[in-house]
Amino acid sequence: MPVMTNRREYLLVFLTLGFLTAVEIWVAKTATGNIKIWTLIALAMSKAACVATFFMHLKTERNWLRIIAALPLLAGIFAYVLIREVMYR
Amino acid sequence: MSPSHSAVTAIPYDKHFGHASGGKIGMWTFLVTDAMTFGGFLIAYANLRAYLDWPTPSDHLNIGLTAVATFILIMSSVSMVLALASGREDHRRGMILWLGITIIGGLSFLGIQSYEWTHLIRDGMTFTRFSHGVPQFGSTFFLITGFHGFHVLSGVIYLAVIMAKAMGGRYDGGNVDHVELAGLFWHFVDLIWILVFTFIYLL
Repeated sequence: MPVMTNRREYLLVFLTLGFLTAVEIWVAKTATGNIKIWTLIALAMSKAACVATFFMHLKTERNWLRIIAALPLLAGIFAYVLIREVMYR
Repeated sequence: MSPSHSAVTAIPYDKHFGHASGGKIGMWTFLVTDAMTFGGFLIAYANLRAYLDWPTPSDHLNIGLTAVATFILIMSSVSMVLALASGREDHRRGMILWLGITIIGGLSFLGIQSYEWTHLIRDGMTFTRFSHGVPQFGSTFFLITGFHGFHVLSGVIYLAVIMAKAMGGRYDGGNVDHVELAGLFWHFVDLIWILVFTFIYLL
């Protein structure tokens, strides 16, 4: 296995995550309605993608492992369908 | 230390998974199933919110304190990845130091969560009862944050075992596959919290 240690990249990701967390708090306090909901979901997904890509090293893995890792995203589809159904009722 | 521990294990190349070890593929498979469990909980939570008169979370939960806990967990993810980097560079002391900092981060998170739970229970929120709204608010909160907290506790124990082995020279020579697997679990705990923080506290 090649030695891959990129401390500068880790620091950059850390600063990005900290910044996005601060933005989340600001959005949660100031925004309302659908803008608040979708902005917060987008920020959370961006942070999660940063952790998976850089800290869990998915960016250096092969596609099959990335596909396995992405499977839980299907939950988003289930959630959307179920919530729409509940709201329709 | 046996000689087999001192050399980096050569993982044969596979056309689908490259040089990923069986342990790594197994850990990812476990994490995917675990993520689906969390996904099920969060979907149930979203459905309950959609048709019940749901209280505004920020009126009852301490967002500021939880933001601090979130930041601590993110910092512990950084220290974990630095522990792995030190291990790959065959720097035992650095790896032990960063693992120790990661464990302290996890324990701090658990301490904050215990403090939060104690205050919420005192204010009349339990698994089956909530003084200011529908009881499902408390049920889903304690279920999801409790399940995640159990993962943090498991991760702290897992990392403590890895650190003890590192102190005994188990990972000398850059053979850090087990450290990498523990790191994957720890980052997963961080990743899940990022979503829990948004859905349970901020939305």
